[in-house]
Amino acid sequence: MENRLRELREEHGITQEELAARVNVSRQTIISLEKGKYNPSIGLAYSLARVFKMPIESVFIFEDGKE
Amino acid sequence: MMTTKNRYFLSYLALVLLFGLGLWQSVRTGGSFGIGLMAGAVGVFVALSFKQARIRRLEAQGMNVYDERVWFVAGRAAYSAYVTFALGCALVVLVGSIWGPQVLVNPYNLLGVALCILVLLYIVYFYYFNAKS
Repeated sequence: MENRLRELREEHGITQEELAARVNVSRQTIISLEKGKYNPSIGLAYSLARVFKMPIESVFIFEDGKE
Repeated sequence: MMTTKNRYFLSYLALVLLFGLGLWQSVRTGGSFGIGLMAGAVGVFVALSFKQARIRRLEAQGMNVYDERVWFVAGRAAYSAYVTFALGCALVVLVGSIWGPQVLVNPYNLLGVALCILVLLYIVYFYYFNAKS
C-alpha cells in the first residue's frame, strides 16, 4: 500500500521524531511506513490522517484506488 | 496486570534470585557453575539497565518504543524461530535415530544448548524482519 506520508510530513514541516511522538509510535515505524515496508493498523492510519487533517484515503493509497 | 514497571521489577527480582543461587552454589560446592551464574546475572543486569535507560529517554521524547510494528516483527520472528527449531530438532531426531551412534549426554546441558539455539534463532529472525520491514 502506497502512502503520501513523507510528502505530507515535509509539507507540514514535521520531523519523523515529532510525527512518531504525535501518533505514539517509534521513529523506526515512521521510517518503515514512509518506505512502504510496513502497513499500519486502521487505528494508526486514522491517527496519522488526523495529524494532517485529511481523510485516510488521501494519505494511504490502496492499490484498487490507484490513479 | 503486567505493566512495564511490573515486568522490570520481576526481571530484576529474577536476576537477584539467580545471583543468590549462583553465590550459594559456588560457596557450597566451589564449582564454576555458580560463578558463571553470578557473572551472567551481573551481565544481564548491566545490559538491562542500559536498555531501560534508552527506552526511558525515548519515551520522554514521546515515542512509544513497543509500538504495533515491534509486536508485528516480534510475532514473525517468534513463529519463524519456532518453525526452524522444530524442523531442526525433527531432522536431528530422524537422522540420529537411523544413522547416529548412541551418545551419552547430560540432559541439563543438552536442554541448555537447545534453549540457547532457540533464543539465538529468535534474535536473528528479529533483526532480519526488523530490517526487512
